Amino acid sequence: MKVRMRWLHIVLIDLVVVGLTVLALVAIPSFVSRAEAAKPTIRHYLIIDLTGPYGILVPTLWEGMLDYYTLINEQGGIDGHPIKLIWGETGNMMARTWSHYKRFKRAGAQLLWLASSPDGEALKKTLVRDKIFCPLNYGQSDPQLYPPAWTYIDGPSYGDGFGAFLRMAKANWDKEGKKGKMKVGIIGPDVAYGRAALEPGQRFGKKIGVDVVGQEFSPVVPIDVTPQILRLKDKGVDWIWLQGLPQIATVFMKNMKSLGLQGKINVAGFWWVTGAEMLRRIGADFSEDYIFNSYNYLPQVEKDHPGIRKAVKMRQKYHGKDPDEMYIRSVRATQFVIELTRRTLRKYGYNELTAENYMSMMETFSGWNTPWDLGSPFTITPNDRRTAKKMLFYQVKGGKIVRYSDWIDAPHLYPEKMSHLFEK
Amino acid sequence: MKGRPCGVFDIRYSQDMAILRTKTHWALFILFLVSLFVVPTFLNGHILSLGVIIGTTMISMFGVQIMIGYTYQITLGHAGFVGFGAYVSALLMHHLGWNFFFALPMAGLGAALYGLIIGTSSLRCKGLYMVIPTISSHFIFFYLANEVFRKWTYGSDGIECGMPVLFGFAFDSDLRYFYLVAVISVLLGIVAKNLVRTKTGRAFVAIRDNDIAAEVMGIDIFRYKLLSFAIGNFYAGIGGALWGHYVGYINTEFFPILDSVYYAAFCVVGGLGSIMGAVFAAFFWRLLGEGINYVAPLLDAILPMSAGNIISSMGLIIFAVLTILFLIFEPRGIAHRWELFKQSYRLHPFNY
Repeated sequence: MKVRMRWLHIVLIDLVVVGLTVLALVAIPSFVSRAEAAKPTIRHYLIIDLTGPYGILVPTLWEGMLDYYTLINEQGGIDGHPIKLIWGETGNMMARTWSHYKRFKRAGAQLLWLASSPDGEALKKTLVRDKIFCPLNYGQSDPQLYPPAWTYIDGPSYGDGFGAFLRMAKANWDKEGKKGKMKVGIIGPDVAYGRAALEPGQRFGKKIGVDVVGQEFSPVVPIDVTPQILRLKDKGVDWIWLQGLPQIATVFMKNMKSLGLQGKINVAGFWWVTGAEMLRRIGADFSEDYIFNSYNYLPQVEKDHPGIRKAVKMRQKYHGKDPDEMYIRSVRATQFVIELTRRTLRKYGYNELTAENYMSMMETFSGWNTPWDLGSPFTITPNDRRTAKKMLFYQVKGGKIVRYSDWIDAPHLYPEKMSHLFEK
Repeated sequence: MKGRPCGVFDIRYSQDMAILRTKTHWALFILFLVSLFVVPTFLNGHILSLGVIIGTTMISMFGVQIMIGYTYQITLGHAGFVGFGAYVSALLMHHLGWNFFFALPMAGLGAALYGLIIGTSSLRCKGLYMVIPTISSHFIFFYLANEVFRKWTYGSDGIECGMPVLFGFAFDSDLRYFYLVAVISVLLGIVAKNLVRTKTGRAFVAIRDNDIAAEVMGIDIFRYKLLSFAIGNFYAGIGGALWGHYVGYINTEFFPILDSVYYAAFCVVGGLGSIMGAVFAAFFWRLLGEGINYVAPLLDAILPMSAGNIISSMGLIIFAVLTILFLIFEPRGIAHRWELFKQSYRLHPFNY
């Protein structure tokens, strides 16, 4: 009897372990399924990193997407079709990305959102092979853009954004009558997005008379970037451009202050490291004078903008809090994808919402702006697939964010070896 | 005779050494092999993909098991060795046009050579201190791939990994690739299982249990430590190459340092000092990730107001908590429970 009990005990424990696994794999997906509406549901898919290194930024971006899908459904869907965003979280583990991708592919995904550069880079060829359309990826690195495939990006590329900065800074340099050649150095991690500004920036800098002296690399999550700053200082830079996530930018700003260089060397960064993000993480003192670009309006600054007000109302309704800049960015992007879906649906019908048909409708966007006017209008052409071509610059001043510039054109800085694809 | 099936007595040395001891064992093993090749034909791409991921992880995990579980050469740079193998294979195919089946063993050998170089630090370090050179090896790998060999690796832009083709037969579908990974996993698993039962394996265990005693017994500690590094990283290289060619593209971001921590942590969860532990570790790690994949949207459906915050930390918390729970309640890992289960089954109806 005792033996039998012991045996049973062990079996029971093992059964519990197996049972939990089976529950996770089988029961839960069916548990979350919902009743179908009268008209068939349109399904979009999303792969996103909420718990890995990009998790520092994207949760509100993801909320913005979900909220806008919910809002559209509450307003009756797209021509009566409910629309659902089915998403999967990766923790930036490629194995999990791959698993989601296979699951979504099996479910018949035609439109797949992505939310990070590594995912876009990894899936680029596979998306073409499997005929799945990726209308927007929030990662904007070159390897996923060139040569063009079925992956599009939200906004301009990182290189283009840096180009807009060079253009703006050079114009100010000339306006202020400064002599000599303006020098710009870059700090960023040695990954695709971290390097994205360097080569196109140097090329464009040469064209407009700015010396982009080079890049100092740091770990993705550094403890200290003092040596990198000092090396750029030795090169006599007037500006340092940050091409890294807040993990780098916050450390950098603290090091700049402790070196007594704050205000002496100008600092600017790209749209993943906004002044609002800096203020949230390191406060006003360290963030002072920091300049950054954005291809959407900032809710912290453009409070009276009608579109921003609508976004505030939406986030208040679903989450009881005000939106941040990532939220606005994702609402803008989602509005574009919803409009793309509407156009494809109207032209081809529900049964023909295929990847190829979605993609064929991309070029119908000409001088189009999002319904809430959250950024600048854009046109998609075979040679230029960017959904934003102008940048705004903001600055941290006295613990607040203020507008630093009007809309600046972002140059189209595709790699030279790809010019035959774009200069038709 | 503890651990032997009831009524089974060894009368020859070969019987004592056999892994499969009874007809039931053989039947189960054959059933397993048949299932491995028949069942996948009924599975969808998603499950097969999961199988490929588990298989490649398992191969790499065999390496961790040999290094940590058998020799106590703690490694927190395993993802770097996995990446090293993936790059070797990708480079050989991309630039020299090698066939995958020649590039694959070179991936293992390349990673083994890199492991040998890093392993020389074991002359001065041991135990937990090996964490330092192995973590360093991860960053050296990044530096090599992104800077030193940038001309060939294309740095952080990444490199494409060609498709395996054997006599015109391309492993271009999930099912075909699954078979490839399954065959290599089983073969390398058998090799690992036998390796730890050889003189070399026993030397590893002796070093793990007490290196001074092992040295007194005449074991060349440094040689065997290096060997452990080489073999462990050979497995890492093979696992990495298989993974890279499955995805079709790699860059250094695919091999984050956090993965090295997971390799070590899940090796503990699976069970240190057991090849089955590596198998369990791979299954547990990847199925847990898969479980989280399903639970996260469920939480969003249940708690729409706060799910973002919960999900933003859930994966990390679950991975960490489970590792801690295993360390507290079952430090010998899932493999130990499996052993208990087998012993109870074999001894039934007797209790000892």
